[in-house]
Amino acid sequence: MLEIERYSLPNGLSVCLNRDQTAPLVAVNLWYHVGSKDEVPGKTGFAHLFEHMLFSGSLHVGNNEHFRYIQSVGGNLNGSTFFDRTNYYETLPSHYLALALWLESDRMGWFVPALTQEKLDVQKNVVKEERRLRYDNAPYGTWLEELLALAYRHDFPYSWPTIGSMDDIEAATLDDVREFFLDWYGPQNAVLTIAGDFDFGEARELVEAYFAEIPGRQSPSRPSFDPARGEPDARKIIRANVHSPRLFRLYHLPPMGDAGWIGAEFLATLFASGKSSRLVRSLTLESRIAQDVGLFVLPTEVTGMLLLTSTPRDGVTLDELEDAIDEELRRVGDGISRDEERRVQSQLRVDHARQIESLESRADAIGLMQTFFGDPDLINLWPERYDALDADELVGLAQRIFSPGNRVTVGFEPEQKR
Amino acid sequence: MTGTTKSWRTTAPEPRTARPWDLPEISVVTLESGIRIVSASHGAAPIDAVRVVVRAGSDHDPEGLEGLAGMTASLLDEGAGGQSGADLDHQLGLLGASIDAGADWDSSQIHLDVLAENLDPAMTILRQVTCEPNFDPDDLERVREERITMIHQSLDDPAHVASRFFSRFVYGPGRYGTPAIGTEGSLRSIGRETLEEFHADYYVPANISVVAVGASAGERLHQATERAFAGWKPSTTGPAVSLQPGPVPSGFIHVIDRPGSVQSEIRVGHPGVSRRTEDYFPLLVMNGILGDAFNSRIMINLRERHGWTYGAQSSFLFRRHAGPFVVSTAVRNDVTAPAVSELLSEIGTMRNSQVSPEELEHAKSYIAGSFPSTVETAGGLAVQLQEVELYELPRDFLRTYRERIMEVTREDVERVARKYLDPDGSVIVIVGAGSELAEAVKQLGRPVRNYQLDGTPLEES
Repeated sequence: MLEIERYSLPNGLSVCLNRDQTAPLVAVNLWYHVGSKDEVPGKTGFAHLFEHMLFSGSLHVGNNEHFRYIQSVGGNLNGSTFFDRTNYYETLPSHYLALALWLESDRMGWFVPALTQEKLDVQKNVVKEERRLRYDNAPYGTWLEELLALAYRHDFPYSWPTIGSMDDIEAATLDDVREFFLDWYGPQNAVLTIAGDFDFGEARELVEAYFAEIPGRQSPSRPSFDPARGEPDARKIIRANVHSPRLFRLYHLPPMGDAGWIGAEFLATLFASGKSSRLVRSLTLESRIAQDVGLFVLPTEVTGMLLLTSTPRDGVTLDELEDAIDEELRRVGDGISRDEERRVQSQLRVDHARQIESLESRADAIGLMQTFFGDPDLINLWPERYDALDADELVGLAQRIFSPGNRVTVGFEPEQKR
Repeated sequence: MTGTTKSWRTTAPEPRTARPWDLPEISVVTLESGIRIVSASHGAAPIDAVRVVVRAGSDHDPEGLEGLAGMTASLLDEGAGGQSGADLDHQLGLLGASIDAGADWDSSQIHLDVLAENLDPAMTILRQVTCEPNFDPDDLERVREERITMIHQSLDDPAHVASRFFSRFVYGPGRYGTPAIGTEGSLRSIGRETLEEFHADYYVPANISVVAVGASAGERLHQATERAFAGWKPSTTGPAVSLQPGPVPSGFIHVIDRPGSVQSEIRVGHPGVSRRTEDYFPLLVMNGILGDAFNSRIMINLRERHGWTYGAQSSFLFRRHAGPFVVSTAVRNDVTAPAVSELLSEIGTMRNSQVSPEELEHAKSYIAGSFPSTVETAGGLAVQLQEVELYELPRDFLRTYRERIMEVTREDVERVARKYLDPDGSVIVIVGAGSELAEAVKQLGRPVRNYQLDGTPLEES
């Protein structure tokens, strides 16, 4: 049970404090409630490019100095961008808590005066290389991009990946950067989580000193997102320079936190976690049709996604692989045994315990609960939600999720025999 | 702190007094059979981490049977004690546990993670997996085919191709020159008897340490381990190996053609030094300055000054025998040659010039200061204890780690840079769109060799 104290500053900043004195370390984590969902066609990739810019200095902190300050005291830090949120975090020796808060508050309050075209140009190039590295030059690298484009109508922003398109990255201007900052990077749109070794009184005082003077602003009201889906059971086969075919599927889910989303976490573990899980056992150990099979749920806010990946063994076609997968998924209609249910629940409990073991990932999980649900204590209640699942209802849920009309499919096929 | 002068806003705040920090108590006991048990109570989660460390890894693969250690280890959890891998996995799942087995260059390892309340029954399965694997011929065939397919698939990934060719050109016919996983040919030569022989030779008590760390009390972790492995008969450990890198022509640029590449994967380096070197701490600091932190010279040069790459880093791959020193990056095609020049020039500057007091202090305080977070979790501390066991490091190694880093002097750094960096003798590997790169690469002034992706040499142009 994690004790979490939550409060807000008058400027709207939400603060979550979780004290744990196991080690003299502290994790500072800021979730800004903005991500690629807040982009529009023609400006894709911007939230992520912006994340890079936030490391390029602010009024009192030079370019790349944020990294130097944190690393020179033995801290680790980074940021990441996803559909609905962008996070910035550092874990450092606890007597340097003030340093982390100073750095985060400087870029929240005094980012714009330090902006230059030169910094933007460098980061555009860096991000283009990131796209080449992870998408364009990597085997199967564009799988998620292809899947999202099939899954959703092109004006719904989950239809493109956070990295965005090369052209859009290139087209970003300094005005875009300023505007995005003023729209989304005010205290009213952020959750600050501090987890680890600190004194409550002192932590509150430091948060007040560094963040309270930053004026709250109004974030733009979001459009009511219409997660309009693409064509049901849409498929695309891509010829690529790869040795093996590979299958990628997206199954639509309700948004994170919904009972159906929690149920999908259960199903992902039932079907594809460990040698005794159903798909792994039947496809890789018994029939040996697949080299690997994986299922995972993404933490998304507007609508949910369950992703499947699988590689056929040499000599097996994508069609044969899909038939075998669908047949095993259909078998869930025969029911889920009590024994299997217990195995999955135990695994989910351990996964949860592991997620809150390190301060860094714990602070991130608390930030998520506050940002998406306005309640950090959900972190403690989450495991109970797995225990509350009912086997019969899970069978019905699985049948709905895995029905052909609820999915889209991308397959990669080798271009030529090597 | 006051809001009126705002001086607290313009300059970085001073730290509070550091809270004392120390490792938990660590017990090391050698049983009569020769097995060593290292245990400690540690971590905030209700989980225990138990690691069986066998002091024989891929470096013990006999010639022609490359991949044997990896195959042996990966078959352990495919079935043991007469039960199938799926059945074992199901039992472990019910206990909130999982077991993974695998080999690296220096060791074979079996990892158990388990809800602390279920430590004892999970240890029984760990013992079976370690000591009584089925080595079922049918599982062997399946795992063999999976691994051969993995070898073929790895050629799709330019980063993997670059690292693989780099090892081959740095080590030639030596064991480190062939991938740890082996080759299709060597994997096809492995039979059930070879697995059993490797297991009988090296999975013996005197060659094994078990590291047990977690929420359970240290004494309980020790006892559960001792009980599980009681009665394991001692036997002689198989032959030790010595790896000597063969004489390999250095200074070449090897270009592997991957038509259609939109980036070049670059590797620059040469043989490094064993993990057991007395220069370990100065090397960590020197490499930290050169290329192992975000603000390292190489990263600032290639990423932040030029915008050529998403990332660039240098590392000494420390192994029992001298693993490579390697600088890695991926850059867009048209800056491939200048990026290679900059990397060579950074290695040369590191070797031949002085380091500034600021960068020395920065690197030292980063490496020393981040040490506590590497041992924050049970699994994190287990990793460190595994290394101490594997490389037979001094008992006080972890406890004195931060002091040893802070003692490193500028002279130490400059000495190890001169001793262990060799820009002129470096092997350079580029995996990319060969035809687009050819002219610029020639201008680098080193002899160039060209290859197809499968390693077939191309005619000199």
